[in-house]
Amino acid sequence: MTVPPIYAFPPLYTRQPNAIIRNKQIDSWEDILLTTARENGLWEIDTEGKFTSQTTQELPPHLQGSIFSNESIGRTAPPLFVKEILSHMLTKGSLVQGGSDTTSAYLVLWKNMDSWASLMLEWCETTNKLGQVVTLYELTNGDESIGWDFHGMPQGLAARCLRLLVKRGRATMLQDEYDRDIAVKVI
Amino acid sequence: MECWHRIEITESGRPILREGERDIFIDYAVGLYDGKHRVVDKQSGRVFLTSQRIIYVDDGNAAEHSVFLELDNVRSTDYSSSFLKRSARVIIFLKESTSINFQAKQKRKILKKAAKEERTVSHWTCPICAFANETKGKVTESSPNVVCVNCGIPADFASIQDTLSFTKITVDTSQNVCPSCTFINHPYLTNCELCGTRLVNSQVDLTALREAPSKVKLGIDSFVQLSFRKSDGTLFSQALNKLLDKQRKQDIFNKDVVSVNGVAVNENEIKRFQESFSAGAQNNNSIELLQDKFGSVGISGLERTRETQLANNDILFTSALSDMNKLISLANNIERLFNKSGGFQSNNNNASSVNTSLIIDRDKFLNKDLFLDEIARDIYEYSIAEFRDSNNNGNIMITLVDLYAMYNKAMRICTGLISPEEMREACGRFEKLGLKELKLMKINNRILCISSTNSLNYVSTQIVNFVTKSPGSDILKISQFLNDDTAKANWTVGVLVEMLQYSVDEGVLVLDEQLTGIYYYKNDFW
Repeated sequence: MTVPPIYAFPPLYTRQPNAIIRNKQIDSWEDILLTTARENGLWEIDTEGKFTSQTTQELPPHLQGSIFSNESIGRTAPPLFVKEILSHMLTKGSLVQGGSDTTSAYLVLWKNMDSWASLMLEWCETTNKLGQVVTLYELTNGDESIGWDFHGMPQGLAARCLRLLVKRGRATMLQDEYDRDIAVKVI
Repeated sequence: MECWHRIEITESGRPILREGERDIFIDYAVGLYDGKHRVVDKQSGRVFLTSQRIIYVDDGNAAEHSVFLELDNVRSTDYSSSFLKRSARVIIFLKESTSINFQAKQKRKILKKAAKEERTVSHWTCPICAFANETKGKVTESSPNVVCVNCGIPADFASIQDTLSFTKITVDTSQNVCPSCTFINHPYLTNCELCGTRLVNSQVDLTALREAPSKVKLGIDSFVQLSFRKSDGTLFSQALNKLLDKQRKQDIFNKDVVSVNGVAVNENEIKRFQESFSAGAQNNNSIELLQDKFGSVGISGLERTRETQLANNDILFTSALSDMNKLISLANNIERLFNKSGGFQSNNNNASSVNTSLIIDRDKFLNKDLFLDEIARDIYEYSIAEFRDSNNNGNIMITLVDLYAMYNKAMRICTGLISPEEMREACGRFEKLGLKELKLMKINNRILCISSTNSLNYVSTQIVNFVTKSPGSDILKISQFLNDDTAKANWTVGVLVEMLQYSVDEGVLVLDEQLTGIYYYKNDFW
């Protein structure tokens, strides 16, 4: 994966006083975050900007720490500015609250929920899963979904996306004994 | 008109003074009269009284119509107060020597022939301290008492007669030697190059510089008049008289001594004594008159009393009339004062109550307005002189705070320090006074700057260029680059801070804030 050249631009790590410039700066950050998440198959980020990996594979060295600090040029964005960027992404919908384990983590949506839902529907159609019960594990980690963008997606997030299909009337969710979403049936 | 010479004026409309010359008083709205005729193109201007000259600076066309008059050419002055529509005037009687300049051209030929002038010097020994004195000219019995240089006691002719001897010294007048520092100047200089003293032997034809030939011929009784349109001119007249007095007494030996051995020496003292004496005599006279009145008999006696009575009445009337003149002028002045203060109150109803912080006690100026005008001219001149040669492209920009400190440090007007409010107000007057090159502007809506018209763009492009060349520069580096030896510029840090702020607000530059300072980058990404 390549790091965008702006990542090595020191002013990126300082909150710019000019409002217009600052908005563009925050957009740049959002772009960096989403690109990194997509290219590395990452879904969760904590409030300090550290990606957490669901899979066992190691994170690339520059993502070991927070994405908001760049060791090679010795710059780190101040915590308040990080908070501002994250809350901006929350309001835009590219982040959603509620990670798998901790409440302080965010889920990174490098596509919005509707797109994810449509993509899952498309997968069901192409793999002939219509009318069948598919477990969430099967959907996100099964062999049949390898190569699809939502492969590796946390199950909680997948459930949220599928609920949109339920709303559209295209799917039914199945719960286990603890009322957790466990499987889906797409019609 | 020949006594007036052209003078060089600075851009901001102030005269260029000679070395060692000081300005003493300034008056406004003054017109010039040559003899009894007004000089057409010099009817409204400022008049500067300096330690050497009277300078007229025209309001309309300062560069061409401004002239000066040497104080050395002034014989005496007179003052006439304003009466009805006539404004107050100072009449200046000129010495004959001014008109001699007329024939300077012809004279110069003679001067060249007789370049070596002979002077007689008398040598004598003081009878008291035996000091060998030298006196200019021939000391004879009829000449006034000479004073010993050593002991300061006047010697009478009889006692020094034995030791008197004369020598003739040839003085080369073609060399134009300075009387005070003995520097040999160029023969055409009027003032010494080194110390600014006026040169006696100058051969320059001052009238050659005159601008327009005048029809008025200057006779022995020639005079010029200064007419004061707004003020009553008394202050100017007083200052002028004081100055002339001082100049006359400058070279007098023992000038402050009142009496020597009980004999009055000082001119004033003698005069006072004489006055008191004559007053006494007059008193005696009146007594005599009274006695006359009673003592005379017959028709001739009556006629004589009648005549003296008429004469007395005459004197009484004239004095009464002059008193009335004075009264009217006083009343006029009071009326003017009242109008002025009344107008001021109505104009500044709200401001005056708050703005009582500083009262101008600079007695050179009639009111605060005029003072500020003068300060404005001075600041303008100062900042141009200070920054013109230091900036390669003639761009000037300085924050008012810096300028205030620099200006007050330089303290150019001898009235002393000025207050920040005065400076601000004065800087706001540039446009009104026709000083176009600089103006007061507000950068970033908070800092007042004096700057030339395109300097803002100039500095910001300079800064941006430098930052593009070497990204991550802090203000120190930028200031070093802009003020290095090759650029010869002199931008203060205050200005640079504001310009950087300006560029950041414009979005041209972005910051990188670190513990070690703020670094600037060109905005390449956003």
